[in-house]
Amino acid sequence: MALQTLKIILCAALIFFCGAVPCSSARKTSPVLLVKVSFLLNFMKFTEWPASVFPPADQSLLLAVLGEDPVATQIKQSLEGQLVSDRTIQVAIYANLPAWQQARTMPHALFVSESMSRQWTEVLALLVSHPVLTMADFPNFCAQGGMLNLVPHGDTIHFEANPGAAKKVSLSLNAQMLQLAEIVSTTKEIAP
Amino acid sequence: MMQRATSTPGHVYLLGLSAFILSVGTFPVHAETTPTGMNYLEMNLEQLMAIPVYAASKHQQSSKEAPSLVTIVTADEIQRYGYRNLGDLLRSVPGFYVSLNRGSAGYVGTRGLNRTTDYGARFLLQVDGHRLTEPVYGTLPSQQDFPLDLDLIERVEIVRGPGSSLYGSNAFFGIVNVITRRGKDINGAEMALSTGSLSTNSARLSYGKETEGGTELLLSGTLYGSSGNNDLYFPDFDYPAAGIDGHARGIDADHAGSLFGRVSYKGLRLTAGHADRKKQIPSGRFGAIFGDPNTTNWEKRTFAIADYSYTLPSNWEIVARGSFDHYMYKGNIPLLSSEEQPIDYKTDIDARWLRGEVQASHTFAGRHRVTAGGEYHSLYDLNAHLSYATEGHYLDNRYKTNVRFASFGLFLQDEFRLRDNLLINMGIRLDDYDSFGETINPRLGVIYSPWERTTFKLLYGQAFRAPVLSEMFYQSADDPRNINPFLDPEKITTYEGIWEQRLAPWLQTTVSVYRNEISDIIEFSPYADTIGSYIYTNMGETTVKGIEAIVAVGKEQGIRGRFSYAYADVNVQHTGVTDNSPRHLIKANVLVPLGSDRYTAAIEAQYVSSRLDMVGEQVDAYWISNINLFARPFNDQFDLSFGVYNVFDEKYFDPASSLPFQTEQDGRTVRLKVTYRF
Repeated sequence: MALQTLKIILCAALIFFCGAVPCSSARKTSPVLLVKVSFLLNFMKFTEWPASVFPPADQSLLLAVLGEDPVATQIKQSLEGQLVSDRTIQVAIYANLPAWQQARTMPHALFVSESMSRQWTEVLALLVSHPVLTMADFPNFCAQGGMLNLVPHGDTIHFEANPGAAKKVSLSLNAQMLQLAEIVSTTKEIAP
Repeated sequence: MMQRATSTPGHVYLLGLSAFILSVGTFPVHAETTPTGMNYLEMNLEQLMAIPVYAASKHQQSSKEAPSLVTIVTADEIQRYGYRNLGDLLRSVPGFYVSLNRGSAGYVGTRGLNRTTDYGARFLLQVDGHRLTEPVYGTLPSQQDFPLDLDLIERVEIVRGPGSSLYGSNAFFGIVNVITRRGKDINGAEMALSTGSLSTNSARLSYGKETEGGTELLLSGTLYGSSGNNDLYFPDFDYPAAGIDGHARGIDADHAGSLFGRVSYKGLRLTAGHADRKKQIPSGRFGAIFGDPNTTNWEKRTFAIADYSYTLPSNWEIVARGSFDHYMYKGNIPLLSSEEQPIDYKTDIDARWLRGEVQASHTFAGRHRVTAGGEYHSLYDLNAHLSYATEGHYLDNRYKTNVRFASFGLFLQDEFRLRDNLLINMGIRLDDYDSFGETINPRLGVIYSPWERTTFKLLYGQAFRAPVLSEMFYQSADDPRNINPFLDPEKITTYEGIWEQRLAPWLQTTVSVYRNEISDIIEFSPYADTIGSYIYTNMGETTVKGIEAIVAVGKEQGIRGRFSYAYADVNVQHTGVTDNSPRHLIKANVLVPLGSDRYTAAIEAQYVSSRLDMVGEQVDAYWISNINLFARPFNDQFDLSFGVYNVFDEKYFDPASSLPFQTEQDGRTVRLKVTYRF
């Protein structure tokens, strides 16, 4: 466990330094990443959580990121401190599944990096029925029970939504947002 | 063993990360953050979904990596701030100011220069890449003479600094790049009606569509009418003995109409526009009989553009464009004659020109983004007449047959990504004019981002403005000798350092320090020993040193805004007169959501410090404030906008180019605008 923590810290530190000092292998911001994280911000803005998930005195919205893709660092850089209906986003990056389990924190929103796509079903099992908004950018995420997924569309980025998956855990995805999404359904009772 | 086993994935991650970031780094870069504080995080889903990120058909550049200080004003800001014309918009831009003499144009200045004695011509105006600056006066049209309804604009990019290395003439102080909305963005019909003070009304009807086959269509028409200010006071004309009291009553009317259309299919676009504007001039300028309602300016602009962009399989991006432009100007100034009968001094200008350009871009070795191209311009028909007592010409067109008003330009630019965070922008352009010959203008920019949130730019550039026809062929009354078709272009050399710093996700600061050295300024000066006879000649030098600071704050759906301060120290060596050069400009733009972003209050404050008019009298400093309330109450079908301009009814003046040397500006006015989409 200690080694794992050390590894995470090392990775995080390296990533941090790679992002913080001139580093010939890293171009600092790429519009692809910026556009992606901007989508995520919008997703959270257009989601309604049951009031019970927020402790009364706490004004933060916890966003966990699973995996160490470049998207993760961009999320940390761009979304940390942003406001979503008066709540401040706090970003926690977990390099892998054990790291998250160890932290013992159930976030309000979760982004699953592409590198974690194979473990997605395990992640889903860990979420049980907690009202956690799940987001990703790899194929078939919504078809496998994820809620919002970024998908390439020509030269632009569009997104899929699985409102049934959200509804199952008492999350409500804004209708305006759903109008723009490609709807993926994994539940049968979604039709009115 | 354990250590080895656990550290390997870390390296793999990092390698993967580096590879990914590198691969991402080679994507063409689009505007990501701008000095206005607008960034992707502030965009809504629809806007995000429209951003091409995986491949780009045209070379667009992020403002962060542009070799200039760039301000972008978006369609959303145009609506929420209630900008009525391009002049309103430019007044909100850090370091810009607009002088109105209530004639045809507003004169746009920046970095301390907006000379009252010429027609400006130091900004290049482009609409969707087409040069709209006309060659007779070259003024940047910022009032109703701007041939496009502001509602049709997707965004305006204001690129400061010399741009002649890529764009040729007029890109002297900067480029105003207007990008219009696409047919599919309108997707249906849109109607906008507005009414307001000074009997000002306008109506617009637009239609936009994208067919399933991918053909896009946009059609729009606008009518505008205003009775103008019913009572303007010009102290210079307060002569009770002559029966005039300095009040110009009911002679400030402004009528305009415009049409705009475009059809596009894949890379091919056909665009056409036409604008017609008639303005009464209340100021008694150029010796007009004060108070005569027949003092008018009438302008027409027509343009037709065909452009085609195509990416070859070898990843060469080709853009080709051909265009036709027509500019008409009719000025009427009633003068007192010796017979006490007014004689109409008429200026009649009709110019037609063609332009063709080809541009190719390619990235070599992943590091050199090279753009090369050429442009040819031919003014093939110019008629410029003046009727004044006896037959004569305003612009002497005897030279019409001798001089071809043609020019061409060849340009080459290399954006060399030396390191991932270090970009070298090198450009050079040769222009050849039939009149004055060749001019070569280089530009060098070093853009360095040592840290994620920090960008430094070091810029050097030269630019020119070709003499406009009204300067080359201006002819004083009754003196045919004094035209000057061999005028040289004005030249500018700029040194600039820019520091852009994002201090927090919601806070961006930009500081620019510059030095402009301008030579061969074209001056309107007395000719020989003939009284009342003038000629345009190249004279002396001007240096401007200045600093500009911009702070952009805020987040989407929160309070957001921009504050700026600009200081310019102007030294006109050859005359010593620095007219219309305010030393300080302060601006604040704040957008406050009222409950949600569907309701916003936009507040603007603009300070222009005192200036001198052309005869050396002081024009007082002023503060202007505007407030615009914007609502999108039910759904996206319906917008309501109510603006109060010059809220505190400040009485202020702008310098003008002839007696009266100062022109009173509008007091408090209001406008109510409704937009309906169906």
